[in-house]
Amino acid sequence: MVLGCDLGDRDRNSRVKMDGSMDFIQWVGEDMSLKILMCLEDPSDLVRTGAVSSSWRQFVITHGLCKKLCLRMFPEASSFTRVIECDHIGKSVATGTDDSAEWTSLVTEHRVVNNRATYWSSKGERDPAAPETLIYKLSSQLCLITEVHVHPFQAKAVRFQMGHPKVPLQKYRDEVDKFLDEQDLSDDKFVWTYRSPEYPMAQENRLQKFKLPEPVLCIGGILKVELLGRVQTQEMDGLYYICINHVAVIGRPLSPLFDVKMIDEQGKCTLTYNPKTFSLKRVELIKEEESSSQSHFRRFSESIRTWEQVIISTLRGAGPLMIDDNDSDHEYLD
Amino acid sequence: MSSSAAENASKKITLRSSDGEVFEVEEAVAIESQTIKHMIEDDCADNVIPLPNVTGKILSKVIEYCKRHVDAAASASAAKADDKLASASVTDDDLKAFDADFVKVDQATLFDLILAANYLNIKGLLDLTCQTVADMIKGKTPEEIERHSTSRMTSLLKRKRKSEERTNGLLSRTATKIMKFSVLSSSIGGI
Repeated sequence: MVLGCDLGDRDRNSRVKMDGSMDFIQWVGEDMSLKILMCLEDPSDLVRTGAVSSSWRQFVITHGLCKKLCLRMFPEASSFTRVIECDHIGKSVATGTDDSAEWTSLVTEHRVVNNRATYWSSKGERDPAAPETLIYKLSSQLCLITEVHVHPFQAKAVRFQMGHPKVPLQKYRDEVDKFLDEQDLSDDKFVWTYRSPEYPMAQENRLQKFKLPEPVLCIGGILKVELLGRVQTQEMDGLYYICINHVAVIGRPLSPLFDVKMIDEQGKCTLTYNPKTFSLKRVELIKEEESSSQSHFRRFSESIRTWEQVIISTLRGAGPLMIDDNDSDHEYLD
Repeated sequence: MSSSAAENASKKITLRSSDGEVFEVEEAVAIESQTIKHMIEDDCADNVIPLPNVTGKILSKVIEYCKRHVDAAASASAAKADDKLASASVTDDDLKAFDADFVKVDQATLFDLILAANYLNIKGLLDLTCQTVADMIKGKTPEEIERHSTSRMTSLLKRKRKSEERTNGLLSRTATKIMKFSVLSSSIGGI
């Protein structure tokens, strides 16, 4: 057993700073420092720990602390076998003692995993009862939804609604995305066909799972997440905020086997069944379910790009980002 | 106190710190430390158990922690046996309050407590102290983290040098016990 206090004096002396001080990673040793840092529960704490000095950064990356925390918070991430960062110019980090591929891949892992230390934040409100909504376009126009997972940063309750946008028929299919982009996305732009019960939220910073009473057929591929009741205030201005870290919709897309075609703006539609796709695409569908981790990662990596500003503000300690739009926000989950 | 504690109550264990301070504790308190427990079980513990890696100041704090937790466990189990759940939870709250106060020490002491808890293998104390340091980091900026987690070690080094001189003296005086020391270190190595 390596006794933390058993390090030779010579060893320790070399790490003493000019003023005779030494930080705890050096004093209590690696094993104990690992134990301490593994007690941290918020990824942003680990990121800030890594920012203290180059040796601390090296410690955090070498031991894959962010990845370990990510796996503790999101066990489903264990299905990621590899992390690939697109559009990154692979420079090895100057602080690394080793320019090898292993170090570079550790750094990439650290960087990608840390993008989870982000959240979307609402605008500040004086009224704690003011709700907040997030509208998502799902990957398929026709889906069967069984559960929704939300990782809030404190909201009192949540409710889900599903429906479809009131898009003029001629704009449907190829242009619906463009149409949605141009709208201000207020409630009257959508027809809501399903409203879930209200689920109280635990006032904890963790992923919470909300199982719908029965699986719901979402026609139109639009999901609205309503956050009811604000709890968290920001010191700076005393206003109430709601923040969301992660939203995942669990279910099954029914396309391409089934497809839906809107007949009118009120929601009447025809259901088409494509049995040919069943036999031809059956293998692909199965593959899709097995490689759902890859599609998770695609959605995840897209949401990273959208939240880039939030990441930078968070790490700079600027607090929740003020988003200058109306009550609803619009994200693609595709 | 429960009956098994009463049996152990009569048996005392003597612990000697690195700087020569001697502490006499009940066996029930001493065996909160898995290290000491194994030494006793392996019959390596003579009259005195030397702890060359723990100073007197830290050892006295560790003993205080162990004693309090042993007492609390005894009174909690007694309360449960008598079906007094309310008083059992009061003991729990008292213990939490004690723990919270226990770690209100300077950083150097806190880091030394971590090292001692690790060496002596006292899970509760180790978890408590590590969580305390982690809590010091939570929500702080990198500059604040650095400020709070740094300890002036020049005085610590001096103390350690002194304690090591004493340990060396001890070893040379007890040359006949070299065999037992090697058994000791291999049993520690196995933990």
